[in-house]
Amino acid sequence: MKFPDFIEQLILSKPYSQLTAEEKNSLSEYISNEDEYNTVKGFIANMQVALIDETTVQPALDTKTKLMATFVQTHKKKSGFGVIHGKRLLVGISVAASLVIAVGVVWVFLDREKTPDTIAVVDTKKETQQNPEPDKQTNSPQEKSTQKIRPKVEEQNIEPKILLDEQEETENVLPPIQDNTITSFSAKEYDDLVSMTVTIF
Amino acid sequence: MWPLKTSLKKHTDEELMQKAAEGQNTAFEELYERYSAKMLGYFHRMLWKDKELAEDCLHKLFLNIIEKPGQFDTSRSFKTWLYSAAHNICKNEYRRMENRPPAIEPQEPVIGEVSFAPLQENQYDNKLFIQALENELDVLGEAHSRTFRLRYFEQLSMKEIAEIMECPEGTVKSRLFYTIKVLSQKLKPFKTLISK
Repeated sequence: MKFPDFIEQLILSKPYSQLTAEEKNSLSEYISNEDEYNTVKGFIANMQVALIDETTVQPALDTKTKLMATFVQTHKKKSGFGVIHGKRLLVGISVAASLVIAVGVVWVFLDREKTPDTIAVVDTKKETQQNPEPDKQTNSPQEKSTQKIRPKVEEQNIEPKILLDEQEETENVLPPIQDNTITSFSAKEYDDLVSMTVTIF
Repeated sequence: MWPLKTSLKKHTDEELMQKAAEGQNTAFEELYERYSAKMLGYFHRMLWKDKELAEDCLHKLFLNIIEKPGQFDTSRSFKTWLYSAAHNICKNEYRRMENRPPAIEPQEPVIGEVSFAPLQENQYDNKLFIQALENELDVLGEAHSRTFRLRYFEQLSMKEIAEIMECPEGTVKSRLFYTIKVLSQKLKPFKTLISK
């Protein structure tokens, strides 16, 4: 045990005359003689007595009331805007993000569905050339639009290959994989595809 | 509410501080109950026994806890952190007053006069002694005075003082020893106080 606990205990418990040689030796680092020992002893003892008797001040009641009100208000604000509004904002962002993703996915699928349409148009033309007689039994709008194309194809007498090239030029914005698919077809494959598409429709 | 308050009494200061930071007002209230009187006494002693100013500082101290709970360093003890914060508030007050305590007429005789004054009642003697001690502490350097106050007025351990003062324990001990030696010589006329 070192200063001040050691000195405090020793000084308050024993007069200088009762100290052992060992205790005096330990004290020598701090206190050199009996007079100094007694002076420090008197001071520490006085201080302890005086501090016990010292009147303590008590905080005013309204300090606590004000602080508690501030505490409640502060945390109400925090939970009101920081937590609830934060959660709402998070939910809003999540919903918006989900909508964007959903729209994106739908758009991609719709966009892919365009490719068979294009092929179907091309195929219809080809079909028109192969079977120049108009089909009077068709009533659907799609078939009607096909009918409109037919005379044009017949008049110009354009080979399907040429039509495919035109199609390729006008639809360059489409993903390249679709163009390649069409242009790389051989005549037999193309005929097969046309018959397959016609079967589907 | 009552059982909750009772259970909070078992919690450490640090646990209460954490709960208060999360918005539990009963935890904050418990901390206030534990420390308000001590801290008011500290401000009162450190700020020229000005009760109104001490009360304002106490309010500021707890307001800091409410508004900036994140400033509490969880690696430290709440008690030492609170005393450090309180000391910073005192320093601001010293700066505000330009290191000059308000001019208050001394109500008690100064130490030089006390030695010749008759000491009639213990209560009166104690009051005189404390007044003389405060006067002498004001004359001592800030570090020594503060170390002494934290040790004997606030009853803090060496370790706690070292943490608050941000210095090694050895420094705290040597400062205390020096202060005790100086004060015991200066307040020697009060030697008879306890022998009465």
